[in-house]
Amino acid sequence: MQQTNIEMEDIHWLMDILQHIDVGLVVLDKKYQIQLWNGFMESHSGISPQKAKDQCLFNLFPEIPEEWFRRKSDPVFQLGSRTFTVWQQRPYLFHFGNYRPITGQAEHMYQNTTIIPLQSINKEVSHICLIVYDVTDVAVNQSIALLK
Amino acid sequence: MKVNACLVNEDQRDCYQELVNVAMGQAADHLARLVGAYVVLPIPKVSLIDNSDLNMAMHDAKRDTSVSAVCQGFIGSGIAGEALLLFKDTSFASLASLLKYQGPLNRQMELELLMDTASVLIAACINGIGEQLEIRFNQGTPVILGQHCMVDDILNSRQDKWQKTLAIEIHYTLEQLDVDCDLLLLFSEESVKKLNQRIDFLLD
Repeated sequence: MQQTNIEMEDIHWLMDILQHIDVGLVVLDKKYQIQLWNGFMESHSGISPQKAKDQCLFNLFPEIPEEWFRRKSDPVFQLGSRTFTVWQQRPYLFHFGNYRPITGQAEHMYQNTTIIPLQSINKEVSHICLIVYDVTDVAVNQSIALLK
Repeated sequence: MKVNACLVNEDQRDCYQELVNVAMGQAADHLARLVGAYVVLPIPKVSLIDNSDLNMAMHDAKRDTSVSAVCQGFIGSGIAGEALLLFKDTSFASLASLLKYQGPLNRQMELELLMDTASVLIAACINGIGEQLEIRFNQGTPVILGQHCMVDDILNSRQDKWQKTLAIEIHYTLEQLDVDCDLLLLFSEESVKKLNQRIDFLLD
């Protein structure tokens, strides 16, 4: 990606991918204000990108413990290393419903998340990207397996 | 010894050692900045490890309830490996205060602490190696042995997949604090060939 020259028209379909990929993408600046809010996040939260833009993550989602999340993201800003949250320890970051509201067995979506650093031109980590994976099926299957 | 010679020769091994030493310097610096404490610069050990050695280490981790372990896969440019962090449970209390974890420390928090520390230690080290070799490594989601996956299952299913491979062992300690952990970086057999090519390029 870094080496390729991206033409204007390519940006168009790149944006399409960001928008439609079935993975949540949230870009946050150092003040934890939302800079990007993709289709997955919009669909599951019901919050439009226009409304989410420049909102502080913790105001918009009081269910996320601020101190805990800062502890997770500090190393990303400071050291440029990625950090993770897993469903076994915290079932979800965003309280979304099950993707299959009728036949799904879990009440909410289980999530694994990864926080990755985004470098600006001067190599400083100015933004972080939060990637949200829906791992409900894995979580449910594992719970069933454990019960057996 | 024949097998060793095939996998990595003497020059290559020295080069790996040098590479890892530099990476460790960076990693220790990162860690020190994060925790605000002096990290004793460890000297990593580059060696070739047997399947049975690893099994033994995992067995020990399983038997010894005072040791916790985290695995994390990493891959970049087709070079794949796995990092294994073994952590003495006595280290939790001091590490928790260093990283400003508040409240009583239950098992759940300990594991989260373990996972966070593992991500940072592993990232610092493999990024350091990657930078020198011009490889950008991706890290997978970390897995806690015994909690997220059962050690017996791993030991039973992975017996004969490989015989001998390249391992980098790093022993971390924090000065004046009771923090003690071992980081093991393991590369798959296939990846060692590709790594050797890059190392030879540096040696030339």
